[in-house]
Amino acid sequence: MQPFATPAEDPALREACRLESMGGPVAFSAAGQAELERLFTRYPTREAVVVPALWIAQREFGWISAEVITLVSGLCGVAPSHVYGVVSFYTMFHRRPRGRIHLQLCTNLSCQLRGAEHVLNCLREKLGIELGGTTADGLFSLDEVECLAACELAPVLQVTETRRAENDSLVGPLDGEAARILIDELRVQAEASPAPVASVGPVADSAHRCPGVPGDMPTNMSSGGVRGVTSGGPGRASSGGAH
Amino acid sequence: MEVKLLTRNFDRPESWTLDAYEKAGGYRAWKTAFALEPEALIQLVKDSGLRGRGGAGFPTGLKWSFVPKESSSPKYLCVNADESEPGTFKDRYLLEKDPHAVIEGILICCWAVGIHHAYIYVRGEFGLPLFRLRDAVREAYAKGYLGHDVDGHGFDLEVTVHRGGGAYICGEETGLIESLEGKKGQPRIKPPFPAVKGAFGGPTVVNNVETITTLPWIVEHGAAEYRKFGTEKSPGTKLFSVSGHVVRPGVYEIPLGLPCKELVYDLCGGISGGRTMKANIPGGSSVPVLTGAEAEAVNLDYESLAAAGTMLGSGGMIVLDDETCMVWTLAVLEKFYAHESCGQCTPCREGTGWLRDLVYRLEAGGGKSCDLETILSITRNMMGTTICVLADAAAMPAASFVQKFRGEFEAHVGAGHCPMRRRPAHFLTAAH
Ligand SMILES: Cc1cc2nc3c(=O)[nH]c(=O)nc-3n(C[C@H](O)[C@H](O)[C@H](O)COP(=O)(O)O)c2cc1C
Ligand code: SF4
Ligand code: FES
Repeated sequence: MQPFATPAEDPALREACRLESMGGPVAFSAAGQAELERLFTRYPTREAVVVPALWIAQREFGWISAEVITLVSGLCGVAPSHVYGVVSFYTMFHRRPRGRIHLQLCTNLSCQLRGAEHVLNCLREKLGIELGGTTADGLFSLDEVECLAACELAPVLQVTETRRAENDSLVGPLDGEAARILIDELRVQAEASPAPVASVGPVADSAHRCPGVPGDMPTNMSSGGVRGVTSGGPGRASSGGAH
Repeated sequence: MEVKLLTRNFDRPESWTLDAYEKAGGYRAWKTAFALEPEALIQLVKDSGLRGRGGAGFPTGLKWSFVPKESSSPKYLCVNADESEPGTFKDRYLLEKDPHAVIEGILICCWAVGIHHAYIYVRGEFGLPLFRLRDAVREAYAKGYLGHDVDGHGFDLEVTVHRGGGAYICGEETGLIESLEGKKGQPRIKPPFPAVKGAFGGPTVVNNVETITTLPWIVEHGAAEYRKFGTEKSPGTKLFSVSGHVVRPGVYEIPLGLPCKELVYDLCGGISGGRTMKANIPGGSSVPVLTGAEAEAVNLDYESLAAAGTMLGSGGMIVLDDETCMVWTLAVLEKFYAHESCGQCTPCREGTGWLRDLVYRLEAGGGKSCDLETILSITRNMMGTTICVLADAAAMPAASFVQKFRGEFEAHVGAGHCPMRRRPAHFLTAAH
């Protein structure tokens, strides 16, 4: 066994401890604040709202910075260290800015059995990035994810526009060609609909910061359409379904 | 043979809407339940023989009866919609296609146990299932099926949909409760069991989505009708989600006790590409693996699978064909458990990492023959030594893979590379 490394020595550890600044204090939009107030009535403690508050924050700001942690800590009445612990425990909160569209390819068993590794290589090549990376234009980030509970669509990809409400969609079963076509389609759709307003800035700017909800859904993110069927990649019929 | 109790509404147009659900006779069972005394309702569920569908198979009515009738702190129901066990995707179908049946099941459970607030804990990655569920809860409130004085019966019930942050361990019932309370989802030592002290300090029922969704059918048709499906000790139907190398992967509702052969070869259309079944993981990635021959001989019910040395688990069946490398397969699985260990218990935190590293090395061709004994020894030290059973869930596949496919592991050591000539997977070459 290796002796313990410090974050300065070990890039993996540094990544695990990551916490970055947005450059100034942040605040929720009026809609976000209203949603939060409603949430406080749904739980017997304020602490229980930490994760829901982080979801609102991620939608509004795109990622979780030191300032967001301070904000949530104040609103939920828990220590910033507690919020940080929560943020780092769960896999879905971004601790650095990510691309506008978050691609998560499942690399767990059922997807691997049906070619996830090949799809991964095609996506890396098509996007020109590695796992964990973001394209130079800031449009796509690529990560791997554990079983998405969509194994009948294997290999399956989850597509999420982080700054918009309720748009996560599953695309599968994918092969290399379908994955490349999907990226082209997503790029066309993204160029046709403007990105959400940038979120970073001092509190005084909050009026023109993130409009939050309810934004238009990105059009036709999966071939099933908005909130549509969670199946059917481009040009491919779903082989799954309940029987 | 398929039957359609839980999946009865799946093919109806817009089955997820209140309108469609009511037209199909929905929210009637709940009125029947309400006419019963809570004790009689619990007895009905006990009589039906319904067992928890989340993995452990604990009798549902019995679990409810552990909750004290009078309690100074509020009681809660947590519906477990964290569905993260690799190979399992049945709850996603229930939430997407019949969310009102989930809500009606919640009403029945809460009336039986005297609960006035239910949380539905939905895994963070779920998109459509979450949106449909939220819409359904909104519709149910608007129609007066939820909230104050439900349907004029003098019973109050709040339902809150809670979205997780992404962590397999939050499917474990006490991890779920910690997570719901706004903390890291690290499981608690039991006792106290949730039925006595759970969410926010109150007595808490934790039930899987499928368990809850079965309730309306049982109430409407009665325990005896339910028992007409399945076997004596494993009554009723079960959703199996089948994936991997089968022609038609998907969700199938079958009576418990159906021969595994029938599910794989008839319903799922057999093994893709005309190949043969080398192995079968019948109940989600955490259960011991069966060889193809063992799987062909087994029936799908709790007792038969236990007798075959495995478990029914969540009903997430993963089928592996004869071209699959078992060392590579185990490497994929152990990567998952090492990633998901919450880190509280030394045998689990260290053991999952060691298992992963040893299997990686074997698959990459650098393994030694003593590694197999080391793997088995690690698994023995992980089982039964930790706060929750994630450690066992990581150890059981490892032990069963090495025991049943030992020749393949030895061949890797002998050859110094993977004899199945699999291209190295990205995670084997990447630094970890
Ligand atoms: C590591 C781990 C993960 C689990 N994940 C889930 C899950 O995703 N969904 C679920 O219903 N139960 C899961 N369980 C089982 C729960 O702890 C609990 O037994 C179950 O939700 C009880 O509901 P039931 O009696 O209706 O099955 C998991 C258990 C463990 C140890
Ligand atoms: S067994 Fe593993 S996952 Fe469970 S509590 Fe212990 S460290 Fe956490
Ligand atoms: S293994 Fe990829 S969705 Fe289950």
